[in-house]
Amino acid sequence: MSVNAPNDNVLELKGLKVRFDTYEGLVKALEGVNFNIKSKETFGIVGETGCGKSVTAKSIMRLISSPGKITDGEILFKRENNGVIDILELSDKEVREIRGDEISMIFQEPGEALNPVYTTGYQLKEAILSHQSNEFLKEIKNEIEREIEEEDSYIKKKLLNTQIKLIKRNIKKEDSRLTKYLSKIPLINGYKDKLSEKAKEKAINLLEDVELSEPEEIYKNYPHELSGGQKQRVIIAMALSSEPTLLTADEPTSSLDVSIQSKILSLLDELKEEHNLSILYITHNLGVVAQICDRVGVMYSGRIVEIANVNDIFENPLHPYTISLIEAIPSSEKEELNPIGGVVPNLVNPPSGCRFHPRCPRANERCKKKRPSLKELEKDHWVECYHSGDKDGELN
Amino acid sequence: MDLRDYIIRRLLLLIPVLFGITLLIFAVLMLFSPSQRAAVYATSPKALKNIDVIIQKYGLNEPIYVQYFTWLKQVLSGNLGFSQIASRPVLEAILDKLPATFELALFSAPLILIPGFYLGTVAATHKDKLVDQFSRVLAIVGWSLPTFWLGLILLMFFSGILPTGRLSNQAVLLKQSEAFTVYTGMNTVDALLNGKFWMFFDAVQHLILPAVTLAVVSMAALMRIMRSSMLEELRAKYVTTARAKGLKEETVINKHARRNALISPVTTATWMVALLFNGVAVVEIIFNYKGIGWLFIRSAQQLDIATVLGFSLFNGLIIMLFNLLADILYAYLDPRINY
Repeated sequence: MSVNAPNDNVLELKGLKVRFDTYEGLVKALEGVNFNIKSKETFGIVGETGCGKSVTAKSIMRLISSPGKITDGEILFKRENNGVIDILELSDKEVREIRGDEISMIFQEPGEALNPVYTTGYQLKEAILSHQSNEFLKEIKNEIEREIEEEDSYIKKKLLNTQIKLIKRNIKKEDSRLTKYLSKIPLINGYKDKLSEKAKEKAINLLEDVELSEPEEIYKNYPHELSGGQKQRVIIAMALSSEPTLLTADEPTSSLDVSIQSKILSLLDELKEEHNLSILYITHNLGVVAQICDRVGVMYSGRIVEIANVNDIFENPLHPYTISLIEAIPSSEKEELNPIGGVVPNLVNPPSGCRFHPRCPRANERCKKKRPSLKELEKDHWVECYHSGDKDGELN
Repeated sequence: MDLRDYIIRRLLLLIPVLFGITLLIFAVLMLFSPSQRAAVYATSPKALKNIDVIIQKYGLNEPIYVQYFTWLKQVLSGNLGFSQIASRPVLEAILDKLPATFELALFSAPLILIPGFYLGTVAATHKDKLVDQFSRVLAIVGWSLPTFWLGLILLMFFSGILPTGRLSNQAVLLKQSEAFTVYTGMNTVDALLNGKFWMFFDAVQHLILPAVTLAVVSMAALMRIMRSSMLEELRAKYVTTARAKGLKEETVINKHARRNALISPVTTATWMVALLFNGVAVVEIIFNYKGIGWLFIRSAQQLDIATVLGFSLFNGLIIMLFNLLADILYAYLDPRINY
């Protein structure tokens, strides 16, 4: 599927399939997911629990762990140098270079996403140094070279020269045993303290960026000493540390209370403007979607069944699932709740044809036999349903 | 509060616990008749001949609380009574056998800790691979072997190859000679300090069988605990965060997952080592290795009350110290602990 000119897409998923080989059988978690994220937009994915939202988010960074496996599809990502790559074809090392650098992720449970035994400062520094140590090292190299010029003592000069040699090796990533041991010797590993100092400075700046008061304090704290909202801000700071182009947010506010939720959302919005981010925002909450997203993909049982601008989704939903999803939103005007009938389908033996047909009020024989394909029914409004075209059959 | 204050406070807390232990031991002591108890107060075989004098002197017919304080005063001044088995004061007898047990523990502990932690980690990171299958079989087999049985089997298979006891006759002669200085009482260490390498190897040979026998069960248990702890941590969300930062898998496993996974196995491992220092009687008896476990069994068989009680007191002390060590390690590893 190609909605826009390819140049405008930061990310494009084509026919992504993910399988989990479990004792119960092969779980068909993603069954051909297609969508694209344009530059500087916030794309939302909504759906019920277990529809494959998080799996989609993790697949983008190849973070699906065993027994999960990406079996088919393409994940096209536009790099900072404008070259388009398929993430699924990269080597593990190349993926590592992208993770946390060009694509980063924030998570649902901020409490569990931070390592409890390290300070937030340590974890931030780690994120910063995993991609920016070379920049810092070059700066330090220049500083040391200046020091050498001013230094008179022969021995000190020698020591500083050794440091420069080590730095050069470090920049080239020549991790030989020798350099490893040498960089542990007190007199010649002075550059390491400088590196750590620079990373700390940057970390404190980042903590200020995410509007945390007393960043110095928070830098020293362990995760359990922070509140949920503070932890989520730390995680956001971590994700932004390397100026990514794409930020994947997997239900980042679901576990926070409503007032903090809206603060985090507006923070994300601000940061998006500031850092020219594209955001993939995953949630089950349509209210959040309305607040933050530009476009939305509705996900059902491993497929994106409808994609549209956020206004169209709410005002003119075309897929029967989207319609019932919007009807299910509780509101003070409604007297009773309208839950969607039936249950989320079993992913080991999913329903034949359109996976929604057992719960769909409009389903007929055709829906059971063959899955409809995603079609652009209106401009920028894609739907995967046989019935959405005929206005007569519409529910409302 | 920092870790140092915590340690000081815990050390002070040891005093009431120690007091409690003496109460318990004294309660056991009071089960015996005054003439049997007299042995606990005697300091030489000569004194034992005049039991009535001891009963008089230490007031063994006095009310219990008076007796308790007289006894406590004795214990605190270092007199744990006279050991009939060793024909010397109990404290001396224990201190004499202690280096042997410590030496065995020092050799056995690495055999528990290194393979336990290492194989547990490797098995978890290579779940369901060959290494994991192998370590699982090893764990189940090791865990289900009764120590006394394993000891006897090893003794049977290696008789003639590996000796029992602590030293060969030749080495004992050297040890008793003028030229040899006993620094620690641990044969391997002393041999090295005296520059007698053949004696070192001799001592090591004697240590292999008991050390292995002692280690197998605990090692298997530790490996299983470490494996499951590591597996659990590898599933944790912060591991995904660490990967999402772009860290190397090596860093993710060694720095993030393993650091957390160590917390509970370290406590267990401390206990395993504590039990080694208490002298594992079964193994010491099987291999005729004369440590405090051996002394304890002998004195229990002969109803040598003074030695048994002295041993119990010593045991309590060791367990308390290692308990403290476990708590400190725990607090050190897990910053969430409030101390």
